[in-house]
Amino acid sequence: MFKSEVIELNMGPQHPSTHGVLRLKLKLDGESIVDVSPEIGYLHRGVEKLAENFTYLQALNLTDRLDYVAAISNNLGYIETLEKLGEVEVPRKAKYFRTLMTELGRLSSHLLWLATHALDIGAMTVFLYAFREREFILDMFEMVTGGRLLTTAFRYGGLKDDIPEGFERLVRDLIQIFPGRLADYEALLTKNRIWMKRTKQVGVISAGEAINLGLSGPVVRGSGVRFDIRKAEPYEAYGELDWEMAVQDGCDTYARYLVRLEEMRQSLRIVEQALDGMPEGDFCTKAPNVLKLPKGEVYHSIEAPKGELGYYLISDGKGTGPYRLKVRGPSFVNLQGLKPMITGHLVADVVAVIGTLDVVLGEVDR
Amino acid sequence: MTEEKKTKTPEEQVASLKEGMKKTEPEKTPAASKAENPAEANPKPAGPPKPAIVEQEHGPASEDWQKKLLDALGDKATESHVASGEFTIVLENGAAFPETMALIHENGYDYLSDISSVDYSKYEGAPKRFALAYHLFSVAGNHRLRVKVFLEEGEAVPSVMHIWATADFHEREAFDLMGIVFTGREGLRRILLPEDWIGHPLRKELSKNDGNAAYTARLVRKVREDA
Amino acid sequence: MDYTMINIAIPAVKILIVFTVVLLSVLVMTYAERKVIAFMQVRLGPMRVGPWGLLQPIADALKLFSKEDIVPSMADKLVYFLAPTLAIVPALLTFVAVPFGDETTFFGLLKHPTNMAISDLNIGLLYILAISSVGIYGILLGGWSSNSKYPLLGALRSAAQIISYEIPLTLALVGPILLANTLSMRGIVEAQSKGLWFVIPQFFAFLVYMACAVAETNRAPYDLPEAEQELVAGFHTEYSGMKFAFFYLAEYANMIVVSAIATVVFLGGWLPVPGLAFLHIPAIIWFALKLAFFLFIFLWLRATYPRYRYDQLMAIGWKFFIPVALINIFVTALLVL
Repeated sequence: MFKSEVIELNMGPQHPSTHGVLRLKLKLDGESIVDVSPEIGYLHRGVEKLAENFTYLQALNLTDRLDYVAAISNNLGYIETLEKLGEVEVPRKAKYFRTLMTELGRLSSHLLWLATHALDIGAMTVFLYAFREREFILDMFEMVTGGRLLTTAFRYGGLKDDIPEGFERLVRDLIQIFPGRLADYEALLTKNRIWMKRTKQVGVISAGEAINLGLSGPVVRGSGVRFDIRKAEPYEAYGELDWEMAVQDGCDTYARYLVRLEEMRQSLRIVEQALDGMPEGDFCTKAPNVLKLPKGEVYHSIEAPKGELGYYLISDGKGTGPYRLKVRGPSFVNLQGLKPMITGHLVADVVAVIGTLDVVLGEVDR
Repeated sequence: MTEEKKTKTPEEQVASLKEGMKKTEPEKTPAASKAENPAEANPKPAGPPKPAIVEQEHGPASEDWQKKLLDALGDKATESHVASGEFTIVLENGAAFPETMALIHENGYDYLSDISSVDYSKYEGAPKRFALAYHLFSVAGNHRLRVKVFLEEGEAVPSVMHIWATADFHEREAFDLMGIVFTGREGLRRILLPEDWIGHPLRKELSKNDGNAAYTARLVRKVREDA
Repeated sequence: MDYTMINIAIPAVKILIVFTVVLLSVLVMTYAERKVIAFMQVRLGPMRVGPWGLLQPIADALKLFSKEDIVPSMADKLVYFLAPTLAIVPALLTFVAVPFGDETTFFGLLKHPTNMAISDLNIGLLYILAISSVGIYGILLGGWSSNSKYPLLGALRSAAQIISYEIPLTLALVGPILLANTLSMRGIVEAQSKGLWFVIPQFFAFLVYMACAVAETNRAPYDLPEAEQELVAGFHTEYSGMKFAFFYLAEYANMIVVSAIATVVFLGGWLPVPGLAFLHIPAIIWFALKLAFFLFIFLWLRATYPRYRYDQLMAIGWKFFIPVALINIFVTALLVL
């Protein structure tokens, strides 16, 4: 008499909350999700192919546009990959400053994550508060690199320029006000009953499954896995500074929320230490104008705000640019975690899970 | 739902491997330790002659764990070397490939970072046209490994999706952009480019747009037909 | 002449006044919503159109009037056209029984004093609840007739939510009715003039009523049916121009109705705050102030809280609010007897 059917609902690619051009083909049984199939590629610009035709320095521009929310991290990963293959020693001052800038990038990325995640779940005010803080950080980026969002920071061997005047004061102001602001967000969300109901037991993934799926970053640290590349394979100045890894055991969206909040606190700590302990010296090692790297291949990964950002670079020793540049975008791999996390939940949880995975389509599609 | 992050079976192996690894400070879990790879003699397996890629050997490299892995693999690894502080082994493509990869997985490499496809046709000294580089990481042991497989044009590779679920998207991307076919898995279809795209753009040959110059026109015609 | 005056002319004038005021206040509400929420979110809100953005509602109204009327090709045309009407008409009809003030002679124009309500029905509260229930048809049919998945899902959710929350809403109101011993809105206010405002003896009923009122009007934190992030725009996704304006007006009109009921039933209607009667503020201003207070709470909630997921929303309505309201009725009945 009654026949129940599975509805196919299409979310995106134009949708107020898929954080970019992500298309999700959902199969719904009423309100519960039976199957989800992400369709990507709407933002594919052929970054890897383009890089083969550019010089190493020009390709740095391309890396900005991968995770466009925290472009600094992409820059850092790429430059470090070049330096690993070219075996060049970076001065300590540059290392400290790079660490500082990258952590500011992490703060800005997590603030945007918090803003959009909260907005998707309905708390509109946090969105505006977080963006207010983010404006400070973008001002700092503009002071150093000239760009607010797409920074093209750092150069082979160190930095492009010395630290500008007035930069330290801006950072000190941020260090002063930020803990109070973070406390504001916590007051609005962390113990809020509605928030907890929307995020606890939503998007659960176990540690073993997370590792097998290749998830990284706060996604996997929210499931209890103590894996942070800054601690496991320290780069730049992370090995010299005193900070804690943020790990939670909850395995759900709420745990990941707590992890990212804690990461913001630790980032601020790193920023302060880097600023206080900034060494004197050169800001860049001399490098040839037209860079040529020796023949070889190298895979280098860093802990970007979204997860493990890896660059696989093959150089043929003769060209002025990469022979092959493969970008391992953390969001590309983290998106595979969507299906196990969301199956069985309701449609309203889809936005919460996409938010907690912190997917940025720039590095998914490249 | 709290699970230990250590992998289940090779825990004892990993523990013995860790003894050989230098630790800078005692941490709660080994993955958090800042492990360094001091320079040591490069382990070389007995086996077929090295392929023709000449790598420069720099920096810190081998450890006991590398030797352990090579011992476990026996002669399945046709070549191995260390360069830029990274340990690479080369495997043969074939029916035994998934088993070898499963063996590597059992040896503690539970995290597959990346599968990269490379087109070596413009590269001097490459044994075959294509290569797949599997970048593996051991979470418990905190060391990385690259596995390379060389392929001819048209050669298909068995999938490792059943070992590491993360291989799904990576293999689809290698198929999409480079045209490498993976057998033994379902759902191998394009991921980044549209379903009806012709050609594989990341290959090195100069493409005269592979027939996609008229892609938009085809799309518009299709939409008008469906309407 | 007397008959005509009492039964036709005066009500006609009242209807005109009330509907004009209601529609104007809906317009003011749209402005207030944007301004108040903006200030809570550390920004300014509309500033360009007129000084401090005061002419923004007029700009919005003009925009909606002038929009192209798009009808989805596979929509059920008649129902699609009628649905907004079914949403707004009941919302406006409820104002018939709402008393805005005490008896008045309109500054001596009338021989006999008359109520400041269009009609003082002796089943006023029942009438209001019944008529506002008809508004659900507008939402349901609007979503269904659009012939599209998102509106359908939104409409079903919204309908289920409103129907579910009507029960605790009505039950919460039974407590004050028991205390006042009448269903007439005017009678309820008069009952409060003799003693405490019902918000104090019926505190829990008041809380339940407020929560259900927010759910009835599809406002945050119960605004899942219109959550942008999930369903684009819920049941009114496919509507544009005047038809959309009707849904929009209906939502605000509903907000004003439930706030008016809260004012009358719990906060003493037009009665002055005890102790401040010496200020000689007209009764209708008291009513307006209390109404504004409730509307402000609506906005405050929207700016602060995330939204409940649909199944949690339904669970709270059925498993928490109804039992609380029922217990309140039992206790009140025991005390009254």
